[in-house]
Parts: sequence; C-alpha cells; structure tokens
Amino acid sequence: MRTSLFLLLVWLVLDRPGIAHAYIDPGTGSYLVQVVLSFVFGGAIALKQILQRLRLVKRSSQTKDGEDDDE
Amino acid sequence: MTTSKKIDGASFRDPSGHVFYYRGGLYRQINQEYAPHYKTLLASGLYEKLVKRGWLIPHEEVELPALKEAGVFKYIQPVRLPFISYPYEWSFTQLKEAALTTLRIQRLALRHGLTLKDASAYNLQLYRGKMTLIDTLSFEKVRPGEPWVAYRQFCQHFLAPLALMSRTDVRLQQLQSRYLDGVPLDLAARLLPFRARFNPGLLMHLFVHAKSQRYFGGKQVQVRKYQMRELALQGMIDSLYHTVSKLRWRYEQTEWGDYYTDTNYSADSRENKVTVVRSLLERVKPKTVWDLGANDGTYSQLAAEQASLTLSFDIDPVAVDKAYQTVKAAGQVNLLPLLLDVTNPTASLGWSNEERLSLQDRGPADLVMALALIHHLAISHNVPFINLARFLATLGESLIIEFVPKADSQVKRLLVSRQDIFNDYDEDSFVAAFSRYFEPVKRCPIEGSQRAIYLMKRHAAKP
Repeated sequence: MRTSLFLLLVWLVLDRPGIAHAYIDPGTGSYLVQVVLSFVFGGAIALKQILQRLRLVKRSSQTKDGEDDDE
Repeated sequence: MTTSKKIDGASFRDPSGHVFYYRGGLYRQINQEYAPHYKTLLASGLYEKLVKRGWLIPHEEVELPALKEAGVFKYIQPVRLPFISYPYEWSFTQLKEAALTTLRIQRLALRHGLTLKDASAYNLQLYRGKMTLIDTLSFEKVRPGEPWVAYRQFCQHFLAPLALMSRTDVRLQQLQSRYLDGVPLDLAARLLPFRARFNPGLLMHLFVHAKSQRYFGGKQVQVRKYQMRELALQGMIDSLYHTVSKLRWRYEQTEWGDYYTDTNYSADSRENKVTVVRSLLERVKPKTVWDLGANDGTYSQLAAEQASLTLSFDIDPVAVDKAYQTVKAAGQVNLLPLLLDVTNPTASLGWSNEERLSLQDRGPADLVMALALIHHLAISHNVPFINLARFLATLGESLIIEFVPKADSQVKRLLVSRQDIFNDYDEDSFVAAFSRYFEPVKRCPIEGSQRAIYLMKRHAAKP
C-alpha cells in the first residue's frame, strides 16, 4: 500500500502539468494528496520534535512575533 | 414568519446557519445541526482564546422572539464591521497576514479538538487593524484520521495567489476577482516559473496538489479508507505556515513608488496643502472618509485624525502595501489601505451578483477626497468633468477635490506624448460641471502653485 502511494507521489512530481478541469471534483485529489504526502509531514514534525528534545531547535510554539500559540 | 429578516447575499451555502439583517442589526443564525460544534467551540475554551488574540470576531448570544423559525438552535450577534473588503482589494501583506492568521487559528483549533471546515479568504476581514476571522461557524469537531477538509480552499485562496504575486507578477492577484473560490491550482502551476518547483512547499502544496486533483478528478475512490495521522496533519499545517511565511514580494519600482519625492511641490506648498486639507476636514468632521488615489496615505492620515474609519484607496499595489505597513507599524485601527482602480471599480460579483458588493454598494462615505487625481482621470483617461462629477456624487456626501490646471508641470507631463484635445480642461468648466451635482462651499488656493482645493457638498436631489 505504502509503496504504491510512494510511486504515485513520484509520478505526480515528475509528470509535467497538462490541462486540468478542476471543476470536475477537485475534492478527491485534495483529500488524497494530503494522505500521500502525510509521511513527509509526519516525518518532518517527528524530526523536529526529536531535535527539540535534543534542544537543537527552538520550541515550535513560539510564533515569529513572540506570541505563544499554546495555552 | 416575519418579513423584515433579510439574509445576506453571501451567506447561503452553509447549512449550519447564515448571516442576516433584522431591524437594522446584523445577526447570525445557528441551526440545530451545528449545535454540538458550537457547544464544543465554547466549552473547549477555543472561542475565548481566539477572541483574546484578536483572531475571531466576538459575538453575543441574543434572543429574537419575534422570529419564529423551525430548526434554529440559537441566534448570535457578532460585532458589526464598518466596512467589508475583498481579497482582490488587498495588498500582498494583507493577504499574507490573512493566510497566516488562518493557519494559526487552525493550529490552535486542532489542539482543542476542532478544525476549520472552510479556509476561504472571504472569511477574514480587517478589524481594528488586524485580519480577523468573521465566520464563527467555520469550526467543526475533528473527525480523527481525516485530512484537512479545507486544504484545497486554503491552497486556492491563499497559497496560489501569494505565490503568483511573489514569483510571477503582483497583478495576477486580480485573478481572484474572476475565480471567487480561489485561483485554480492547475492555472497557478502553469503561470508560475519553472524554478518555483524547487521550493519544497510550493512543490507539494501547489504542483503535486494540482496534479493530484487532475489525476483523481471524477474517479470513484473510497477516500474514507485512507487515514491521516494527527501528527501528519499538524506537520502539514506547519509546512503550509513555513511556505507562506517565506513568500516575499520584492517591489519593483512602479511609476508611483517614488511619487511623493517626484511631485512638483515645494516644501512650503506641501505644508500649505496639508494645512488646507486639515482645516477642511475639521470643518466637515466626517465619520467615514474615502481617500481616492491616496498613494502612501499621507492625506489619509489627516482624515484619520477626524474620522472613525478612513479608507485609503490606490491603484498601485506598492503604494497600498507601503501604506498598510505604515498602518501596522503605528498600530492604527481606523485607517484601512485598499486597492482600487477608480476607472474600473469592482462590480458586484458572485451568485446572483449579490455575494460580493460593488464599491458604490458599500458606500456612501461622509466625505470623499480626490487630491491630485482629477488630471489623471480627465487627461490620461479622457473622462469628462461631468462624468467625474456624477461618479463622485455616488460615493459620498461631501467632496474635497484638488483642481490641477494645464499650466501645472504634472499635467504638462501627461500631455507630452499626446495631442492636447482637452479644450474644456480649465477651472471654470470644472466648477460648472461639478455644480450640477455638488455645491461648491469653499475654494482654497495652494500657495506656491496654481492648484486649488475645493470643498463641495452633494446636492440633496440628484439632477
């Protein structure tokens, strides 16, 4: 399952854009692209959390202007 | 069923509820089906936190006993905004702020078991100097394992236009007035330079996203089988936030960028003009002011000393963006810079042409200012004085307008490359034409120049 999703991702990246008619159900594609890419997002955030624990990266809850997103 | 309830022309798609006007007030109806989500919004503490940070418009719960309608859970009365503006009227910085605010809200919502079901740019408005979410019913309880239902809308309303403005051309923002549900991703993908693919965020959220839409469009897929872990969802929001933050717009020098250093005023003339405008403003004491052709907002600032709301309009995206950054830096809450082409103000758009209102439908203002503008309209755009007067009369009750004569070097510059066909371009003709719609109240010459500023009042009944 994961392999086919990954291969799909590779294809999606490499294939040059053609004409799309986004009025025909863009929802399915938007839903699935998130699922397909989720291993990227999950991996990135897991890595960030590890680095935070090792104190190599600042805490993510500080936004740029210092405002805290947390409680 | 009372006849005095009028549903807002933009508020009809969401079965959770809608916005309506009743006896001069603005309300939002919450239907029964939304009750569990609304209760969670309050009980989880999310509402309080969002309001405290200025990210969500506050509201009060009200009783409207005269409206006897079935299926209603509750009525709420949100704070009423003095002016509604649209994404195609915003500068780059305003749109970017709206995008980042949406993502901050979503991040915080996820921590409280809620998620945004819409990420439309029209759900945000400038309120007290900040981009604020005005759709209280945008939130719903998270369904675990589900990806972000508003992801497509976020990418189309925010990411695509910002990327196009940043990487291709700022004028592409106007696509948003044609595509009211945001720029189609396949279109954005075609318009962006090839290099944009090397940005990982744009690659994923725009290019790959667009391909995915095309590939899966219309296919029968059991999407519900595919789950997304919450950690991945948070990571995706972080990724979007990072991608949007990094989008910058480097100003090219537009013809207006250097305007105020490029004018022909001496320092004394300039000071005199400021004094004149200020004295006229003090005389009118307007509550709302629309400053047309405001450039960097220098004179809008004077208006903001008097008025509870000043709109600072200009055609140049650089000027509007600079003006907005000035406003943000100063923390001003009653001055709003917006994009406007006076020769082609946005029409009423959307469903039944009632969803997004034209400029005139959002007026009138107490006072309109048209400083250093008339020669551009009359000469560069061939608009006769009478047409100008008729148009300006639809916008506001009073008018402060500067007449710039042909002898002025700025006008001479406009005539350099064209034939002077403007036989009626003189102050007497100007006054005669405007008197059809306005009564001239005062004329103030500007020292050190041949210009004059008029204060005029619109006739009670239009001829």
